[in-house]
Amino acid sequence: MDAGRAAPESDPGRLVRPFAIGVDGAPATSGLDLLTRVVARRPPGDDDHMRPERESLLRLAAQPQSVAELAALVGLPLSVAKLLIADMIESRDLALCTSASAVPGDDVLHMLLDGLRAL
Amino acid sequence: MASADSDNVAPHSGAGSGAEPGGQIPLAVKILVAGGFGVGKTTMVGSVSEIAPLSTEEVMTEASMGVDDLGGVEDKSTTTVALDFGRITVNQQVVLYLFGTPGQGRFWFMWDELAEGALGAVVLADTRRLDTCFPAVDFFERRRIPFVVAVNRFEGAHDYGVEEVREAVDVSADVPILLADARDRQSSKSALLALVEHVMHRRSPAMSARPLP
Ligand SMILES: Nc1nc2c(ncn2[C@@H]2O[C@H](COP(=O)(O)OP(=O)(O)O)[C@@H](O)[C@H]2O)c(=O)[nH]1
Ligand SMILES: [Mg+2]
Repeated sequence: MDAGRAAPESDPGRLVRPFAIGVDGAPATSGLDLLTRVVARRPPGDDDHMRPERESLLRLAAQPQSVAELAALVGLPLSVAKLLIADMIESRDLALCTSASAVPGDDVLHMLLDGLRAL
Repeated sequence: MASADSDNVAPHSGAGSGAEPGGQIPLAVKILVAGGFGVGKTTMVGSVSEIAPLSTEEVMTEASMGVDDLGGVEDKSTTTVALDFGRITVNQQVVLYLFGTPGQGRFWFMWDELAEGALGAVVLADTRRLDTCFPAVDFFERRRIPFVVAVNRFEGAHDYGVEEVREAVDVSADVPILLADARDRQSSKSALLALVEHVMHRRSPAMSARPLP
């Protein structure tokens, strides 16, 4: 978060340490976007503590949670989080959730108006 | 990846709303908050979000910065771009997610994914430097993504009027422009409402609650 910092002309970005997270092969992340919601199929178990990111994801996704939120909460860059989440879907530790159609219809727009007005 | 159909399950813990076995999770609606550095994106996301704004990062590789030579890319330094987001539970069926990230040329690789499926955008304009919103305005215009312009007024900067901003930013007459304060919840809420009304108006002028000026 950069609140409070003086506005620079351009943010040079931050250097990152390479990540050491074991993922077998290269699971396809193409079906995952920021708002894809996933949910844990099981609670974390005793064997999960050696893989803390996975353990955290199992805990954080006890209820359906967006990929963006999981990445932020677990402290991983999105692309890394997606790789891990895709791997955990393949291993059946996480599952994809579905919601109604992706395109908000007029009914949804009216709900948004009402919801925002009530804020 | 496993197919969506075979892998949909209810959460393992029965608690919580909207996720009973066989039930559907709420529809996720995405609104973007765009603008230059320091214009108030994080502030606006935070002022309306029901959760403290979260921040995640995307790794910016040489490839995503548009460098052709990928040889030895693993040795090159990698930087990140921050992405803030917040959430508003609208009702049991709809959750609104707000995403804010810099609208600067080299970050567009990120915006392509962000813009995918977005309902629209609030472009924040900075009265100290109106031109910092040009790239974002251009990005949304080209993709025909509905947007409104919210003008954050900073102390010591020239106090622009709406029409002055419209002329300077050169957006068409139907794009709503509001004077806003990202620190103020009601003001940020008004910007979001203006966007939703604008989206309705674009879909069907008769559907909008009130005619836009
Ligand atoms: N005067 C004024 N200051 C603001 C407004 N919005 C944000 N700020 C301040 O501007 C600074 C940068 O805001 P921030 O949200 O971090 O900008 P970002 O880089 O776009 O995310 C912070 O110190 C805010 O308190 C506004 O509407 N009016
Ligand atoms: Mg920010």
